[in-house]
Amino acid sequence: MRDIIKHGFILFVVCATVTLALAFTYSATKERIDERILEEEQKARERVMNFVDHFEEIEDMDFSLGMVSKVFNGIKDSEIAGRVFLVEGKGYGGKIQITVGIDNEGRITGVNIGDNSETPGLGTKITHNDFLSQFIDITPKEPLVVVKNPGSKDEEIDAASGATVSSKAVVDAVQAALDVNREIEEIGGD
Amino acid sequence: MREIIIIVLSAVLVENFVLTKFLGICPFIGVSKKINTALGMGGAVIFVMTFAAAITKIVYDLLLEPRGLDYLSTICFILVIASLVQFVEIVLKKMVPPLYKALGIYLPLITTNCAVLGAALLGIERNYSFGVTVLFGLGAGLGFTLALVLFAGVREKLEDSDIPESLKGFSISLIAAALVSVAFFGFQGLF
Amino acid sequence: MGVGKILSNGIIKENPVFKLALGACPALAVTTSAQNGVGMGLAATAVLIGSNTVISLTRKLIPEKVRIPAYITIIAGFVTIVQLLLKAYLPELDKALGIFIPLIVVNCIILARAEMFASKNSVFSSVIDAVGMGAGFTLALFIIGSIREVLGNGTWFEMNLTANLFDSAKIMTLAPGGFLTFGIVIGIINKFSSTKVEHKGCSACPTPCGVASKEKGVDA
Repeated sequence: MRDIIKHGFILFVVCATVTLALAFTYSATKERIDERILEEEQKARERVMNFVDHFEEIEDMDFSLGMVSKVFNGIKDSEIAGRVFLVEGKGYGGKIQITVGIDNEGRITGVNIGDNSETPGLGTKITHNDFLSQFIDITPKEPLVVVKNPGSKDEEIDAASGATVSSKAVVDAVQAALDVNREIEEIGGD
Repeated sequence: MREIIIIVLSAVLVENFVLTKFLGICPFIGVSKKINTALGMGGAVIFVMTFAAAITKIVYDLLLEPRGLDYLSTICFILVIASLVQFVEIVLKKMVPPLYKALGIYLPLITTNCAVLGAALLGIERNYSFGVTVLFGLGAGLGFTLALVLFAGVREKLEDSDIPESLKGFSISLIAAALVSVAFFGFQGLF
Repeated sequence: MGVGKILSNGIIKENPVFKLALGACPALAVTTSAQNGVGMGLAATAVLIGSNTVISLTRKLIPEKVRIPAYITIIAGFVTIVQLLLKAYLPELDKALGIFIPLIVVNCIILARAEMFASKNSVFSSVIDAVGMGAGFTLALFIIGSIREVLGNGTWFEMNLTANLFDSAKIMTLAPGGFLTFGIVIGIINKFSSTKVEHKGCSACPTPCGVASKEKGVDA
């Protein structure tokens, strides 16, 4: 009996000490980690829309956003020049963080692939310029589609070879951003 | 229903833990010499993995996440798995002796099987709901067993083959695993 | 044992991956490039140094019966500390290694060294042992990672090496290439060394697996 109490006490001390050490490390690194994440998001926004001065998050959205998790207004000379959408795509290996920039005319200004767990070498082809450049500067009138042999239409996106699922995830995400953008335009935005 | 089948099958075939994710290599090579032992080990892993996925999900959702303690998940999960293994061992011994006889000796091997902790961590990382997490754990366990049993079959054949001296043993097992893994690549993009 | 002997023991004579066949999971999973291999090796070395130090320091305080749970807790603590530091200062590496960082907890090498060395030796030798074993692990991952990166991607540490000479075999960076490279490297080592690499599997990692190796029913 005394042994059980003694052993239990020793284990308790070990756990408590380890937890304390972790709590200390966590509080010491937390600020830095949060900063990193914000910095990365900011960089992604600048990459997809490089002609604006700064971004302002649209806080209260009163309609369904679907896959879109955050929307930012891109401000140039204190006027809205376009919007940037943070979209969570469903890829082959899990979630893909996708940032999409759309200007006032509905033209896609850039697509950036952030955190993802796609298969290295195959699914990760969606991060290459060959694939992403297909989106840039198009103004889609119809819904985007993934195809294997692209025709002449802007809306047809050529799937990265060996990465059909991942390609479709990106196209769906961009389409979600376009849909939300249209919805904001219709209700006038702000 | 359709969704359930897809989750389980993709965990079994498409993202087979052993052959595409490299989780649980130690027992995969170590306990795959005979089909019987492979089945025993597989059964124990399916059992523990399903429960581990469920319990770690509950611990994470109820205790860790609401308090912003997700940095403690690794440590909590490994302790949950270690105690779960002990607990299952005691319960099986008392309640279901025949099952204990079949799985008992494999249970202690499971605590340090990285596939179990891996399934728990991946379920959380991918933000699965509770039901899906449990199915994912089950599918991962089934996939582990499938790989183990298939590979045990391959190795029983290898025993009688003429293999260069320096490749014998661990080395040829890995090379054979490479070929089995190529076969599993055929399932990529199944869904 | 002298410092040099402990070190060379870890790097060559008892190289955890190439000689004892421990830590096979990370040796296969994160070695898609030389850089990731070295990153993983260093992360595990950091955990190993931490856990060996603490376990050696407390070796007279922790009773036999609760050793394993106490060790696992201490190791998990160091793993989380390394994970948080990587997230804060080396986010790229953290992303590349992903789930294999928290999985260092169940890396047999760490628990095995705690059990077999740190719990019986002085702090100083335990640290040296951790450095040696860590270096051996890193070296192994570096070798496998280099082979896979050069053949599979035509690069080495992201420098273009053979990409223009021949089409790289993508499969080398995928799962089958991992098994194949590891298997062949072990075969080559067998060829040139007097003792053969045998996968002792879970019996090389003394506990909790050791429980099973006592019972003769399992051939792990």
